[in-house]
Amino acid sequence: MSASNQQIRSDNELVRKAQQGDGAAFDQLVMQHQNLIHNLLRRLGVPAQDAEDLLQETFIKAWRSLKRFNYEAAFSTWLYSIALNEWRSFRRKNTRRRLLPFPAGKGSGTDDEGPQLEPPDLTQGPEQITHNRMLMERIELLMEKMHPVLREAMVLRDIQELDYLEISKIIGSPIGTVKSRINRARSFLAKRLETDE
Amino acid sequence: MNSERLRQKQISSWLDGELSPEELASFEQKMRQDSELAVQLKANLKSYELIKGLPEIPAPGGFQERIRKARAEVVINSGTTVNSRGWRLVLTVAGATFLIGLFFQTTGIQQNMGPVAELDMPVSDKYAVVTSDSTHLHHDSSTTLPEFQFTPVSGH
Repeated sequence: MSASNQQIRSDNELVRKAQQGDGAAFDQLVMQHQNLIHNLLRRLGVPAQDAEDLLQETFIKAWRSLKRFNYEAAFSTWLYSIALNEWRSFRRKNTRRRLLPFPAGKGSGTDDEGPQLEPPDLTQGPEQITHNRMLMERIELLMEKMHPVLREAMVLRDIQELDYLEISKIIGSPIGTVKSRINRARSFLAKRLETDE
Repeated sequence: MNSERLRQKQISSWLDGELSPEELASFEQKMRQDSELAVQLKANLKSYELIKGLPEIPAPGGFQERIRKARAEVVINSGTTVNSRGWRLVLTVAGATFLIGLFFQTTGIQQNMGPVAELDMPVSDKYAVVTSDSTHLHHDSSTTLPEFQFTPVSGH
């Protein structure tokens, strides 16, 4: 979700303190952003253990280069950029190693053995639950097949709920390019989901 | 732009809530007339809702502590890395110098090193040397600094 003005101000205040060596202020920033970045990495298909490592690397890099943060963008935007760079370099290193399918649910923890779903909604009938599970599994597989450039744009927009301007800053591409990628990603997913059914 | 891409663009704008009231009315009108647009929209909406419905996967418990430890190590490392590198360089140079000295001392190379070995010899011994049949090189021992004169061999 795009950072609100209040969130940005609060982050900037913490960053200022952290830039002066206040470790507790940085810990606060970690607490506020760790879930967002972890979710991003997992939705980009990074296995649980690697996601944890990349998450750590992201925050350590942020800590190391905190003095270079110039407040032109939101702190979260800056973190997203670092995390995406980490993910890209992880992908380059693991070209032979297949990235995991799109993880489907909360509480997936460190188990990467199969689809990870939320506990079933008891208001739904068993058939509906099974159908939803199948859809989630299909989404996982389709996201895996999607081009990484489309996937990152789609995850940032439809899962992380960032606005186009922020995505454009994070991935360093014009808004038009971002929109085009998201259109293609949505079209890809919608078509494949229909044809596979 | 082909019609399918144009439709997808409109659908995305609709999903993002970016259409103005006029555009929205026009889009809805078009959807009623264009069955392909309606089908495409339905498929998009379905996958969009599935993606949106995915729950957040939070960072593992205790992650903050892990970062705190890692951050502390970064501080310590960056503080000592420079120092230890400096010390390492000093120790390496000192060790190398010692080993080279030890090598020369044990192999006796010093004695065969010409001018260095001759330094302990009397000046007269060093310079009063007959070098050839045709010239006689001799040392004038009255002076402290050696001066050399070429004296033609008698008979020439």
